Amino acid sequence: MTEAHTLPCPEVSVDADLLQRARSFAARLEVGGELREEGGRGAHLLGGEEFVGHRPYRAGEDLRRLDWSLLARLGQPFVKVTRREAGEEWAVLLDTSASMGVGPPGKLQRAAEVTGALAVLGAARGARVRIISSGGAELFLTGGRAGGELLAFLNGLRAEEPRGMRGLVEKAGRFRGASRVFLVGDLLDLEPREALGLNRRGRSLAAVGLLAPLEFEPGQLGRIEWWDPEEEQRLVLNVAAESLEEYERCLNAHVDGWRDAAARHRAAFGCFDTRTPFEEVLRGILGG
Amino acid sequence: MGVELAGLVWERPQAWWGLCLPLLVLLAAKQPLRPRLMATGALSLWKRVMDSPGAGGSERPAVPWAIWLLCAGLTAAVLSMAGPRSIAPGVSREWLVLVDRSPSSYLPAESASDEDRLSRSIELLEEEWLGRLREEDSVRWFDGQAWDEGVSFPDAWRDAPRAPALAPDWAQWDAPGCVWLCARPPAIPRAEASLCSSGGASAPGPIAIDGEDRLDWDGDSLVRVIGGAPRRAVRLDGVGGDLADLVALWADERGLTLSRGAPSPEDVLVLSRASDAGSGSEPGALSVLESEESYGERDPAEFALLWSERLDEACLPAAGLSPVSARAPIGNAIWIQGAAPDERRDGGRPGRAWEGWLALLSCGLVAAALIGTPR
Repeated sequence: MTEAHTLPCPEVSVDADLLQRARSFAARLEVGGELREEGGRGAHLLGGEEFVGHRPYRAGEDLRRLDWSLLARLGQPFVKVTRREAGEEWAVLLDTSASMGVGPPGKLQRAAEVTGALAVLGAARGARVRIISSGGAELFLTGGRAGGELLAFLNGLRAEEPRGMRGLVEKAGRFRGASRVFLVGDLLDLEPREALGLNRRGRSLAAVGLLAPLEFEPGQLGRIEWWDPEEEQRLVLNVAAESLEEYERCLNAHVDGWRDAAARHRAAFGCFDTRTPFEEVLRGILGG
Repeated sequence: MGVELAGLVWERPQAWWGLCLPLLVLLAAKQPLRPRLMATGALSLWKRVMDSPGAGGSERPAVPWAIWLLCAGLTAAVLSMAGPRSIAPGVSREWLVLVDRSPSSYLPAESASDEDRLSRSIELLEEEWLGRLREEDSVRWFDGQAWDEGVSFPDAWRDAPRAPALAPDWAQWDAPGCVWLCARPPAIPRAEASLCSSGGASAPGPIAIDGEDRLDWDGDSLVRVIGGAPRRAVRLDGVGGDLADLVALWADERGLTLSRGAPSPEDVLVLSRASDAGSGSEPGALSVLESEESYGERDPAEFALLWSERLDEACLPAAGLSPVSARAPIGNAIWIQGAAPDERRDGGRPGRAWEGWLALLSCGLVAAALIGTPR
């Protein structure tokens, strides 16, 4: 196990402000449109959908969502806003391995905010939300409201585990009943095919990749000894223009691989810098 | 006086401590070359970077050349501050050591010591000064009357002169290259000469003769030693006539014995027959022409008066006498380094001073380092 005190950002600190922001975000999402389904193709009604209201039609939307009767009555186009039936289960798989302690801003901190916001979002929609961390901690939220219990769970997380998302994906049975699965982590220890195999008929999958600024855009740092806190491996390298160019190519290839695989499996995917607020992360994944 | 090193004379060698500065700069410049440790979850990506050709390896980058230029500039500046001066070829220096051979110099340095104050001064001189002479330097010794040459102290001067000597005229010899060698520091101010003074404790002993008694100083007060006056003799060597009779009377009056035998340590005056070249006089000795032995047609009183004065003038004091002022304690040993002698005044040029050129070089190197620093 890695000594957490040597990692720059191993812990999580969230408070009621996160809940407030998440609820505001959920309300905006509700007003702006429904959650994106199946890889961003545009939402459509599926079995088990619950009608919740109308909103103005936006150019380019799927005409199957148009409420024709309302158009006939009012002469203006509106689309039906739906949500899945209350009682659906969401699974949020959260990577709490040691590499999530890299930052600042810390990857685990941002991942915890995204997870918390997803829990609030799901609870607002009447879903049961199961949060499973790679360290084994688990929280199951029911009853339609996420509050202090969620904050306590998130604040108790710590980036110190030797295994990350791969361990969670291998235990898919723990969330067999989930209709929505979210992977939140750096996705660096996972191949796309390993994760996207979770997707199946009747389930939507979204993968959120979070990278620290040091991993996203390292900059010319000079002579650096890179240290993998999970496998305790080290590598000395001159981080200069040539090596940065090659790193960017490798990172782009990694991200493109995920993007292409997600598109093929009709899953949502996004890779974000941890400086990005969680609202923008979720907007990028969920749409709206 | 400076230090000789690498064919140069360094006027301010203490400035060499400044060489620590460029060393510190170089050590500080190497610090960033140790890699910084940073955690990452993307090590697999960096491994691919490492394996790709031309993407930059892990070899240690060199210290920037601007840093090397800066250190070279600092080194030149420090050497400039040390005041280097080249030694002009074929030029030597002349030192002059003035020696105080007055009676106080030959008194014991310590109350129960065999070493006299002059010997102690010589030891101090050898310790502080002789080692600084260059090979081509010359040394002359002067005691106020006689001269000697050579690097070592004249051995003949280690013994007290029979006739008490006076100290040299110090004021006349206060110049670069002069060294004052004495027991008690002269009272006059000193500007450029070096000073080597032995100091010394009190030296009790005889201070005067009173008839047949001797007066001693015991360190605090005078002590009369009854009958302690030393035996003193006047020796006539081939001198006779009226003069011999006068000398006998004169000696008797002064408590001296008359001798015509072999020389003796007790002799305080020797009268001898002069050669045809003429008579002469020096402390403790008179040479007399045969014609001077009798008063002839001159007034006998005038003859007696004249010769009494000459005898008194030439007669030496008893050996071992010194006044109380000479026997009093004179403090601790003192060495004060004065100015080195100028180069020989025969046309030889002094050595070139290099500090200006080194300062200019230093400025140029630092400017080049600043220009070469990436902005």
